[in-house]
Amino acid sequence: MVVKILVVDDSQFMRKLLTRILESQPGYTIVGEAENGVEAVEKAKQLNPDVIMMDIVMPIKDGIKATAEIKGLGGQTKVVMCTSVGQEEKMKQAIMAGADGYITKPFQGPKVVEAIQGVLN
Amino acid sequence: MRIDLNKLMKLNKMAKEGAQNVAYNLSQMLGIDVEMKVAKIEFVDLSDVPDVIGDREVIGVYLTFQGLPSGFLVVLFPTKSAKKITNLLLQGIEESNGDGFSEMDLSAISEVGNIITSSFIDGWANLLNSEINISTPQTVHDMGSAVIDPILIQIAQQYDNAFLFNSYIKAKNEDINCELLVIPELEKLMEAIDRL
Repeated sequence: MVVKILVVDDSQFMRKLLTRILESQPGYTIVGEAENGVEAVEKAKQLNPDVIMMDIVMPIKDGIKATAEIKGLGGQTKVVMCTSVGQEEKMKQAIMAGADGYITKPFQGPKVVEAIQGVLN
Repeated sequence: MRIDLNKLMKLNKMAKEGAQNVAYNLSQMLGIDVEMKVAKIEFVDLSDVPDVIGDREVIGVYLTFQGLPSGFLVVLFPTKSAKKITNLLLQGIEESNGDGFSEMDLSAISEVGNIITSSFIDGWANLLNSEINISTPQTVHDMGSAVIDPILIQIAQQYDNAFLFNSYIKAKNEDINCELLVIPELEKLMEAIDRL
């Protein structure tokens, strides 16, 4: 089974980095990208990804609110929050909003895969 | 205000811990060995900060941190060093854009600034066994005064002094200069230093 991933980050560089990491791994395909929470919710409805890699702090709508909305849709999509060190408070809010897992920047290939497998298992 | 030798030695230890944490996280991000050293620490009046920074083109990334200690942290990259960072990060992702900065270049520098600022403060939190929460880093590309002045205007009422950590990062034979400007709530910083 190929895991369908939606990458959500307002940083163009981070979207590119995550896409490059995941496309170099067998069994993963990037089905879309979004640069804010509003786009994330729309694309989650349209693309029905297995996993969303969700940045926490974004303009227009942040990753915490977007996660709560996506989880409210009732689908099977898992959400991995992408956070920086020192943002424990925001991580707690994200877990309460329904996030299934998290990964702390900077990203490395094995850790990204581990985080995705962690929420799928 | 004067800071005694013992406190300065402890601050030096905090700077080393912050720099080591930055080097470790940048190394993880870049996939190569990275070294970061703090070459010099200056303690300056807030009003002298613009003169110390100078009026050259820089890319600045700044955040606030709350806990023990609290304050502002700004990392400033001269454009030449910022270009070296983008060349390292964007190898195999995007072609170099000559001397200018593309949207992707600025996005990459912003992430490095994010890693440096958050890792530096996280190094302090680890050393002090303290919880320090940080805000989302903001990036500005402009002349030094245009980056620093709006921050100083915001905080001039609350803060009197700043520490400037003149630093360099060595990665893949490239020397990258950067300056870390920490504007602390001095009482909280001294309380934190006394814990060491």
